Amino acid sequence: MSVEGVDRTWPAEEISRVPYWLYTDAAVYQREQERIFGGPSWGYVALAAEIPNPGDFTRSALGERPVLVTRDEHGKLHALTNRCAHRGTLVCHAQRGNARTLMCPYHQWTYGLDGHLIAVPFRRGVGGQGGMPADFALDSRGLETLAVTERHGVIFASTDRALPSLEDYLGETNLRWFDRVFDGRALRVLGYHRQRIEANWKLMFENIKDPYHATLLHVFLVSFGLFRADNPSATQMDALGRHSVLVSSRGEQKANADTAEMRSFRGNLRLEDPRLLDVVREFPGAPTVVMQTIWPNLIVQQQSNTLAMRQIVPQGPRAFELHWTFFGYEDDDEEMTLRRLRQANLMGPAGLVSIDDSEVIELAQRGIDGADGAAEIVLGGRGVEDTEHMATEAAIRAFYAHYRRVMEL
Amino acid sequence: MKSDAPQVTSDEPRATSHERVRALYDDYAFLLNTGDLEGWLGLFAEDCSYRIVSRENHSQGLPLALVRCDSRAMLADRVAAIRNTQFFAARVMRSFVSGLRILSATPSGLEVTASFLVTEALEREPPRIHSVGEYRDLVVTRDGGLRFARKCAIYDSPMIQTSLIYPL
Repeated sequence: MSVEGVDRTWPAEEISRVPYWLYTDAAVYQREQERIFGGPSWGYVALAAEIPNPGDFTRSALGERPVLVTRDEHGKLHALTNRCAHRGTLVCHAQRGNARTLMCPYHQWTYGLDGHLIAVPFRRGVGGQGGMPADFALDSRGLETLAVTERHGVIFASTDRALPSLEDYLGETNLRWFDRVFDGRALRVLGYHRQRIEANWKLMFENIKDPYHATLLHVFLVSFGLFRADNPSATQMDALGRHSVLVSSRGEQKANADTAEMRSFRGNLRLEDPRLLDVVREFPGAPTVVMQTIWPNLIVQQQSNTLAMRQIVPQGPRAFELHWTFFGYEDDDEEMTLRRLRQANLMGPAGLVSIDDSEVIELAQRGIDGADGAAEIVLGGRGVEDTEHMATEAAIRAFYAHYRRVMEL
Repeated sequence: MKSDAPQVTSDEPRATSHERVRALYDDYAFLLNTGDLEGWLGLFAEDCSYRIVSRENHSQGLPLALVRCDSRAMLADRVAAIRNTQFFAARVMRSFVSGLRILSATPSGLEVTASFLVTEALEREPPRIHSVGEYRDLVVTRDGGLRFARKCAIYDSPMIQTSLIYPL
């Protein structure tokens, strides 16, 4: 790939070196929109619990494409491009609501919840004059419809209608982790956070595939043992390397040979009100934190009892939005809901933990802007295999192995 | 039964109570703007509730808060995290509070609202507006002074630029 005479060659053998132009180049970004967010991928768009009733709709996005997720009068889900077939205007500007039809505010073209065009004003003209041409057909002018699928209350969409099922797309290992949180119980949405970060979207995705930083940067996590390099842990990818999970179990807050290397470990950190970390075990097995990244736009967060979807929405090469949807289960009692709401203090744009990420990701972008070089990602070797420890960047390498195939870079 | 409500009825003219509450909000902004977070904690009752909530969540009745502290001790933990554990780029946030209004005097205290505008200035960047919104507070008398028993900062636009470090 060559852009304005600038060489954009990524040496084939160097999966552990990620060129900095990947995070700044407008042509690369454009190709990502086409091949990744507009390509053969299931993108997360909504939780079914957000649109439980016939007529419910919510706005979402796949890359820069504005998306509308609806439930029609028969209860069937639809994912539509939120762009009027007439002039491209956003048909629906409310974040969510309930409606029988969707009407573009500009010229009142009106669509059904499945996207088909129902009516256009002045189709036959006014007083016998003007109007649409005789061959103007409503049925060829609906909102663009996307493929849509749902598993256990989570809705994904794609512009590609020939995709394998979501289950095959996730692969056996990542499907199992997905089903651990989404076990079929009805979900309850607790609320949203929205955040704009001035950095390339891939830096966010990589962040959740990077256990190296988690155990060093996050003093809060490390000191309270919520995620630490010496805890039992694992990194597991799907066969293509596009999805991954970081899995770990909470350790004790005591110093040992490994914590000596973590400047961020504070053995004497204490909470004045320990209710913030009043954690109960709720999932089977030993892991207490499972962070899953699902290609190309979703992070599923399970840290202790705080659960959230983080949807990545790119906004040009140097910015993205993060849309957080915190949730619990319909069968949670009040105490459990309160616990989730308190632990939510760890996450989000003001999170005791996640502030560190949004801040450091912007610093990464600042350093990368205009740089010629490449990031070196060799912790744990140069391979892309699953590991049983945290001293690895294998999940980032696996991500880029897949990214390169899709992008042909 | 002892009431927490500041005395604002017959023995005190309305203007005077307004002035005292206004002074509380001026102290609030001053302590935040000078970075005196420990002093700022002193404006809260021990059993206070402190929330920062988007209007998006608030208007839909969704319970999630951006920051949720269910006691002054939990608020102190937040201050300790800002001081000791969180990583962030240095900045100055400045709070402007206006349009203060005592909505009602109830047995549990004064229901007060006011508008806030908070700017954020990072090194090497032009200053920006971080957030705008309204307070929905409950002001009570404790230890001989006015304190917040409840402070709820509802911010108007849900989109946070990068992060929220200091309290609103």
